[in-house]
Amino acid sequence: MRPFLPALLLLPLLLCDACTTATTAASGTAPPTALQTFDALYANAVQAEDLVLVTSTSALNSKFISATQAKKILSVLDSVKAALDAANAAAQVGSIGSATGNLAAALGPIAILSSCLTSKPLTIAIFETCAVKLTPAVIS
Amino acid sequence: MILVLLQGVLGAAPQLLALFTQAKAGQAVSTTQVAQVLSQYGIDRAVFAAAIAKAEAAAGMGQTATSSS
Repeated sequence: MRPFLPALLLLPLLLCDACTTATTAASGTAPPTALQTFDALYANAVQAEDLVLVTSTSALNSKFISATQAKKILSVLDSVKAALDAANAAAQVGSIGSATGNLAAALGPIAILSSCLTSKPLTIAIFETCAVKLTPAVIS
Repeated sequence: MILVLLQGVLGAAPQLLALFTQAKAGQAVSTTQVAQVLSQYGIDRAVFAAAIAKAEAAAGMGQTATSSS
Protein backbone atom coordinates (compact mmCIF):
# COMPACT_ATOMS: atom_id res chain seq x y z
CA MET A 1 0.00 0.00 0.00
CA ARG A 2 2.90 2.34 0.75
CA PRO A 3 5.72 1.20 -1.51
CA PHE A 4 7.95 4.19 -0.81
CA LEU A 5 7.74 4.01 2.96
CA PRO A 6 10.99 2.06 3.51
CA ALA A 7 12.97 4.56 1.45
CA LEU A 8 11.33 7.47 3.23
CA LEU A 9 12.34 6.04 6.58
CA LEU A 10 15.96 6.62 5.57
CA LEU A 11 15.36 10.33 5.16
CA PRO A 12 16.11 11.34 8.78
CA LEU A 13 19.58 9.79 8.49
CA LEU A 14 20.18 11.52 5.18
CA LEU A 15 18.93 14.86 6.45
CA CYS A 16 20.84 14.63 9.72
CA ASP A 17 24.09 14.15 7.84
CA ALA A 18 23.19 16.97 5.48
CA CYS A 19 22.44 19.45 8.29
CA THR A 20 25.65 18.64 10.14
CA THR A 21 27.80 19.16 7.09
CA ALA A 22 25.91 22.28 6.03
CA THR A 23 26.46 23.82 9.47
CA THR A 24 30.17 23.06 9.28
CA ALA A 25 30.41 24.73 5.89
CA ALA A 26 28.50 27.80 7.05
CA SER A 27 30.68 28.28 10.12
CA GLY A 28 33.69 29.26 8.02
CA THR A 29 35.65 26.09 8.72
CA ALA A 30 34.68 24.49 5.45
CA PRO A 31 37.33 22.26 3.90
CA PRO A 32 38.67 23.03 0.40
CA THR A 33 36.28 20.49 -1.07
CA ALA A 34 33.21 22.26 0.32
CA LEU A 35 31.61 22.74 -3.08
CA GLN A 36 32.00 19.07 -3.88
CA THR A 37 30.38 18.26 -0.57
CA PHE A 38 27.58 20.67 -1.36
CA ASP A 39 26.97 18.95 -4.69
CA ALA A 40 26.42 15.66 -2.92
CA LEU A 41 24.17 17.23 -0.29
CA TYR A 42 22.21 19.09 -2.95
CA ALA A 43 21.70 15.92 -4.98
CA ASN A 44 20.48 14.10 -1.87
CA ALA A 45 18.11 16.95 -1.00
CA VAL A 46 16.64 17.00 -4.51
CA GLN A 47 16.15 13.25 -4.29
CA ALA A 48 14.53 13.60 -0.86
CA GLU A 49 12.17 16.31 -2.13
CA ASP A 50 11.13 14.09 -5.01
CA LEU A 51 10.62 11.18 -2.63
CA VAL A 52 8.28 13.33 -0.52
CA LEU A 53 6.37 14.22 -3.69
CA VAL A 54 5.93 10.57 -4.63
CA THR A 55 5.02 9.54 -1.08
CA SER A 56 2.51 12.38 -0.79
CA THR A 57 0.89 11.29 -4.04
CA SER A 58 0.62 7.76 -2.72
CA ALA A 59 -0.80 8.98 0.60
CA LEU A 60 -3.36 11.16 -1.17
CA ASN A 61 -4.45 8.37 -3.50
CA SER A 62 -4.84 6.10 -0.47
CA LYS A 63 -6.87 8.84 1.28
CA PHE A 64 -4.41 8.99 4.18
CA ILE A 65 -4.26 12.75 3.65
CA SER A 66 -6.87 15.14 2.29
CA ALA A 67 -6.77 17.18 -0.91
CA THR A 68 -6.46 20.33 1.17
CA GLN A 69 -3.47 18.91 3.02
CA ALA A 70 -1.96 17.78 -0.27
CA LYS A 71 -2.30 21.30 -1.67
CA LYS A 72 -0.44 22.64 1.36
CA ILE A 73 2.28 20.04 0.83
CA LEU A 74 2.61 21.02 -2.83
CA SER A 75 2.82 24.68 -1.88
CA VAL A 76 5.53 24.00 0.70
CA LEU A 77 7.40 21.76 -1.74
CA ASP A 78 7.31 24.58 -4.28
CA SER A 79 9.10 26.78 -1.75
CA VAL A 80 11.53 23.93 -1.08
CA LYS A 81 12.28 23.66 -4.79
CA ALA A 82 12.82 27.41 -4.97
CA ALA A 83 15.24 27.22 -2.05
CA LEU A 84 17.08 24.32 -3.65
CA ASP A 85 17.32 26.22 -6.94
CA ALA A 86 18.66 29.26 -5.07
CA ALA A 87 21.17 27.08 -3.22
CA ASN A 88 22.36 25.55 -6.46
CA ALA A 89 22.64 28.95 -8.15
CA ALA A 90 24.65 30.30 -5.21
CA ALA A 91 26.96 27.30 -5.31
CA GLN A 92 27.61 27.83 -9.01
CA VAL A 93 29.08 31.27 -8.25
CA GLY A 94 30.97 30.06 -5.17
CA SER A 95 28.72 31.68 -2.57
CA ILE A 96 29.06 29.00 0.09
CA GLY A 97 27.15 30.85 2.79
CA SER A 98 24.10 31.45 0.62
CA ALA A 99 24.27 27.93 -0.80
CA THR A 100 24.37 26.21 2.57
CA GLY A 101 21.80 28.59 4.06
CA ASN A 102 19.27 27.92 1.35
CA LEU A 103 20.03 24.21 1.45
CA ALA A 104 19.36 24.16 5.18
CA ALA A 105 16.15 26.15 4.63
CA ALA A 106 15.01 23.54 2.13
CA LEU A 107 15.82 20.62 4.41
CA GLY A 108 13.62 21.82 7.28
CA PRO A 109 10.23 21.31 5.59
CA ILE A 110 11.48 18.10 3.99
CA ALA A 111 12.36 16.71 7.42
CA ILE A 112 8.95 17.65 8.86
CA LEU A 113 7.07 16.19 5.90
CA SER A 114 9.05 12.96 5.92
CA SER A 115 8.34 12.60 9.62
CA CYS A 116 4.63 13.30 9.24
CA LEU A 117 4.18 11.08 6.21
CA THR A 118 5.75 8.15 8.08
CA SER A 119 3.40 8.52 11.05
CA LYS A 120 1.86 5.23 12.11
CA PRO A 121 -0.99 5.09 11.61
CA LEU A 122 -1.17 7.84 9.04
CA THR A 123 -4.58 9.48 9.02
CA ILE A 124 -5.89 12.88 7.98
CA ALA A 125 -6.25 13.92 11.63
CA ILE A 126 -2.78 12.71 12.62
CA PHE A 127 -1.15 14.41 9.65
CA GLU A 128 -3.00 17.63 10.48
CA THR A 129 -1.61 17.60 14.01
CA CYS A 130 1.86 16.61 12.89
CA ALA A 131 2.08 19.27 10.19
CA VAL A 132 1.18 22.19 12.46
CA LYS A 133 4.79 23.40 12.40
CA LEU A 134 5.11 22.96 8.64
CA THR A 135 6.01 26.27 7.04
CA PRO A 136 7.39 27.13 3.59
CA ALA A 137 11.14 27.33 3.09
CA VAL A 138 12.40 30.90 3.22
CA ILE A 139 15.09 31.84 0.70
CA SER A 140 17.94 33.81 2.23
CA MET B 1 -13.50 14.80 -14.81
CA ILE B 2 -11.03 14.59 -17.68
CA LEU B 3 -11.12 18.35 -18.17
CA VAL B 4 -10.52 18.93 -14.46
CA LEU B 5 -7.52 16.62 -14.53
CA LEU B 6 -6.15 18.25 -17.65
CA GLN B 7 -6.65 21.68 -16.13
CA GLY B 8 -4.82 20.56 -12.99
CA VAL B 9 -1.84 19.27 -14.92
CA LEU B 10 -1.66 22.27 -17.23
CA GLY B 11 -2.11 24.66 -14.34
CA ALA B 12 0.79 22.97 -12.64
CA ALA B 13 2.96 23.10 -15.69
CA PRO B 14 2.56 26.40 -17.57
CA GLN B 15 5.42 25.53 -19.88
CA LEU B 16 3.55 22.48 -21.06
CA LEU B 17 0.56 24.71 -21.77
CA ALA B 18 2.83 26.91 -23.86
CA LEU B 19 3.77 23.88 -25.95
CA PHE B 20 0.09 23.03 -26.43
CA THR B 21 -0.53 26.60 -27.56
CA GLN B 22 2.41 26.38 -29.93
CA ALA B 23 1.10 23.15 -31.41
CA LYS B 24 -2.40 24.55 -31.70
CA ALA B 25 -1.00 27.49 -33.66
CA GLY B 26 0.35 25.04 -36.21
CA GLN B 27 3.96 25.24 -35.16
CA ALA B 28 5.83 21.98 -34.77
CA VAL B 29 6.71 20.85 -31.25
CA SER B 30 9.69 18.56 -31.08
CA THR B 31 10.16 15.74 -28.61
CA THR B 32 13.29 17.55 -27.42
CA GLN B 33 11.19 20.56 -26.40
CA VAL B 34 8.75 18.36 -24.51
CA ALA B 35 11.55 16.46 -22.79
CA GLN B 36 13.23 19.71 -21.82
CA VAL B 37 10.07 21.09 -20.23
CA LEU B 38 9.38 17.87 -18.37
CA SER B 39 12.94 17.68 -17.06
CA GLN B 40 12.71 21.25 -15.77
CA TYR B 41 9.39 20.74 -14.08
CA GLY B 42 9.55 17.20 -12.81
CA ILE B 43 7.02 14.60 -13.79
CA ASP B 44 6.44 13.57 -10.17
CA ARG B 45 5.28 17.11 -9.38
CA ALA B 46 2.84 17.02 -12.28
CA VAL B 47 1.53 13.64 -11.14
CA PHE B 48 1.00 14.98 -7.61
CA ALA B 49 -0.82 18.05 -8.93
CA ALA B 50 -3.00 15.82 -11.08
CA ALA B 51 -3.78 13.60 -8.08
CA ILE B 52 -4.84 16.67 -6.11
CA ALA B 53 -7.05 17.81 -8.97
CA LYS B 54 -8.60 14.36 -9.13
CA ALA B 55 -9.22 14.27 -5.37
CA GLU B 56 -10.78 17.72 -5.44
CA ALA B 57 -12.98 16.79 -8.37
CA ALA B 58 -14.12 13.69 -6.50
CA ALA B 59 -14.87 15.78 -3.43
CA GLY B 60 -16.69 18.36 -5.52
CA MET B 61 -14.49 21.15 -4.33
CA GLY B 62 -14.30 22.67 -7.78
CA GLN B 63 -10.77 23.95 -7.39
CA THR B 64 -7.61 22.72 -9.03
CA ALA B 65 -4.09 22.46 -7.71
CA THR B 66 -1.45 24.74 -9.13
CA SER B 67 2.26 24.78 -8.65
CA SER B 68 4.42 27.85 -9.04
CA SER B 69 7.47 25.96 -10.22
